Amino acid sequence: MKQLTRLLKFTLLCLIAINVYAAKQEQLIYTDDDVYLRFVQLTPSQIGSFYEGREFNKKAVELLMASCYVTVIIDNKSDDFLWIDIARWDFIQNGKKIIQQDRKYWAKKWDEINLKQAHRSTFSWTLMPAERNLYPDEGVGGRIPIPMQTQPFSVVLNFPTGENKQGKMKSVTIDNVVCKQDEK
Amino acid sequence: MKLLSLTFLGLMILMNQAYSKNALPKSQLPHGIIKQDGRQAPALKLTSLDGDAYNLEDSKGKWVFVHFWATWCGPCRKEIPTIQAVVNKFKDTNLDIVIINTAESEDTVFNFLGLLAPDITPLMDEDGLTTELWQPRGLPATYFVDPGGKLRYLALGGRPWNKAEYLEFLNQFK
Repeated sequence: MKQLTRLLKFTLLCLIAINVYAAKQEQLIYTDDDVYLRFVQLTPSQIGSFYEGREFNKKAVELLMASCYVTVIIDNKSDDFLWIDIARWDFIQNGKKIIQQDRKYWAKKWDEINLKQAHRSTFSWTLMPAERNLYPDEGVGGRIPIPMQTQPFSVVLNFPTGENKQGKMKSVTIDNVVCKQDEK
Repeated sequence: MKLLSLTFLGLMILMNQAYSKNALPKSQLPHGIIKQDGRQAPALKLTSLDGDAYNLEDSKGKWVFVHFWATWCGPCRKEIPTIQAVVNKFKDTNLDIVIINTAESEDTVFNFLGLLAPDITPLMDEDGLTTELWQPRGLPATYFVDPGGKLRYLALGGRPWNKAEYLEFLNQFK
């Protein structure tokens, strides 16, 4: 009986370890002297649960689940201003640009389903700011919606630097980004 | 010639010291707190979770810690217990602590704070429009409004308000 308990405990520990490893694998991390970047991908069900938990209605949740969200967490490790300007971030698949679903796109969608103001506001705060500077040591995180993709793609992040964007452009490319799917 | 060189050297040292003095205020502030340009704070007129009305104008003559947050935001969840830890220390002082929830329901906020920060009674920005008026850089965000209603400091992201460095900063407004 004792041996069986031990075996069960060992199996449980192995399963936890595999899970932790898998969770780590799902995050893409880039870091250098100037910037720390972490990509976190959520499945449509996870996105749906997040907004459903914030009391978004069914129509809104369905719309949200149909898109893919690249969640990026950024820390400015440099001594200078680093600019977030997502219009300068390119999502590329087989040489073709994937068009971001920007705030205008979503405003139109929300108008169509008459989404209430509080939920528009919450959704907006979960997105990556369209444009703003990051002070040294400051961090920011947010989602960038794109149409759902079945193939991996690259994200080229261009960061202007300097108080008035007068510094050298910092560029980072993250390859093999995927729209994570729910397990069937 | 020697005298001229010494005078020049002395002048350079003085200029360097003057430059360092100008750079000092930044280093005197706790990490992540930045000065604002002193523009007028936007309007802030909301009702609390308990149903009490609040207007930023009511705090004229006092410093105000204006904090925006939401339950879904990770850094907010980390920061709110540190605000809970200091909120009672500043009751009936010259610093008003004003906590604003952005666009969530009363039930969500009540359940969340009941567990993590029971002494905080937030103002409810039910439609999120007051938050948008203030245009924070993100959530969480904390502004310091001076007794004349002007924006003086901004905290970048979440800060551990119960740590000595930040308590010392807050104590100056008491």
